[in-house]
Amino acid sequence: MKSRKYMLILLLLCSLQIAAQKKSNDVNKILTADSLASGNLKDLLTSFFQLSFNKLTGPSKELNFSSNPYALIVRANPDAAIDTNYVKYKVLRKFNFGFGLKLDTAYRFNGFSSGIKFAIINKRDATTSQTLFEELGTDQLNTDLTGLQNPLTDTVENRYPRGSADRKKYQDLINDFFTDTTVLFNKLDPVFQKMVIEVAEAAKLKKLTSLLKTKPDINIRKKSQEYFSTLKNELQKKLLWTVSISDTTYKDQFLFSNIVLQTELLKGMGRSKPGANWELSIPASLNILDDTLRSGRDLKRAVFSFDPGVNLVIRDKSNEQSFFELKFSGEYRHNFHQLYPGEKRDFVNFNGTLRIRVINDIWIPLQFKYDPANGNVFGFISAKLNFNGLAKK
Amino acid sequence: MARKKLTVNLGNLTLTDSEYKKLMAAIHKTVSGALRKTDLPAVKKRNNKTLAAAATVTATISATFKDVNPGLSELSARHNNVTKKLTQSGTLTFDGVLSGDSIRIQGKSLGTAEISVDIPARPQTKKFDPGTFIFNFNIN
Repeated sequence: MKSRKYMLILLLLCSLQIAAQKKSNDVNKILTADSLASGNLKDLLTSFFQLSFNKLTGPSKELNFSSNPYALIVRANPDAAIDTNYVKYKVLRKFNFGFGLKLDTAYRFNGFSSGIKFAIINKRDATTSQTLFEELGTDQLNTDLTGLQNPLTDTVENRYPRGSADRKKYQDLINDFFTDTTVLFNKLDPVFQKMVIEVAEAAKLKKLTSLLKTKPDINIRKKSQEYFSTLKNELQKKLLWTVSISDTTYKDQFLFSNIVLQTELLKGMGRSKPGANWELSIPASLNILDDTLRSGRDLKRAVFSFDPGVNLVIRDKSNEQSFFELKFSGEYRHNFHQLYPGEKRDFVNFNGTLRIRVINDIWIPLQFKYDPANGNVFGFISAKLNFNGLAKK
Repeated sequence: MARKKLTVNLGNLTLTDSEYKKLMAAIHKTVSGALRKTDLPAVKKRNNKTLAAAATVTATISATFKDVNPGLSELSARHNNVTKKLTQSGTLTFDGVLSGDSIRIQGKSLGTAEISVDIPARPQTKKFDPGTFIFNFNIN
């Protein structure tokens, strides 16, 4: 009954997502490297803040907050984001820290948790990639637009005398043409349209001329930014490697009941196709925890876990944002210490995670685990809110 | 002191182009000669050079790039065939900027860019998301 209720909620969220997708086509959204990142990546390394409610349907629930120290600095001092300051926070930008509350089935407090994570290799950072910068603007359309600015402005300024209303009008139209994301080329002043095509032809800007003649219902600013989106998507396939340590305390004593050392590697696979791509995810962890068979509190148990898998990222073709992800993995666990009655030393699970982006910053992951030895299936639903906490100006 | 215009009414007189030019030259000569005999201050002769010097200003372009490393942004500003460049946040100045001129901006950044000019212009500030940008500051 309970699982049906959660499935209904999930279906409702899916329909909300589809409605949001339809609406997003009309809205002029700002797409940054952060907004193009997959949910899987954001769970691994957040750029700003993430609030998550994990395992809402499981016996041990978690409420976690994770952040990047640099994001907190920028929150307090926006000038830290200026390039000459930004470079000083190189190391801090690679860190994530988090803390949370563990709750039992009745949502009662069951211990604190905290942790830190560091990105040893992060080749996905679009703000520091020299290769991305060198490739930016090198496509034919952007080259043509760069070549159009001077002859077009010269034409307007030579044709219309200083101080005339026409000179102001056409000077302003040049800016509309290059920067306005809402106006289509064929909705601009007809004299101006003709002038742009004439100047582009005279300057032998073939790509631009052909585009304006064959697709006059184009917005040139949006079109010119498409190449950058493609480059950023390619960057999202690069390597990310993190290491982390996290702990949990007892509910009645500030003493560690559990310490997890983890490393994870994320890498895009194959050629990106519009609308979808694959990611390879390889996490491994060592969980050191209390042996409950022994009296007292200790950290005598150690369980190694290796959980390699692939994540399919489905993107909205209109804006390249990930909105649906499906991750499959095979988990191998090995217990190094004394076994509990009925427990196996080596253990294999098949895991899956379905992530749905409900609205821009909210993800709903549904995790399921299959134990092939016993034929049991477990499912957990979570909610993750990614936000930057910065006022949008 | 406000300028006043001297108007000579020629009535219904019909003149050819050459007769009109001769008449205007004669009127100009007579009136300017008469003005010299009065106590009116002499009118300073104004040439284009001094007029331009009086009307031109120095414009400072400021660029702020955010969420990006220095060197991963580029701004090129051009006025009167003079081009100046920046590769990180900073300022550029142009002398001899006249009303009706345009300062042409183009560039790219992996972060956000905010570019402004300190004299009245359309626009006076422009913000861009990461990517390329092209626009003109049209001086008012």
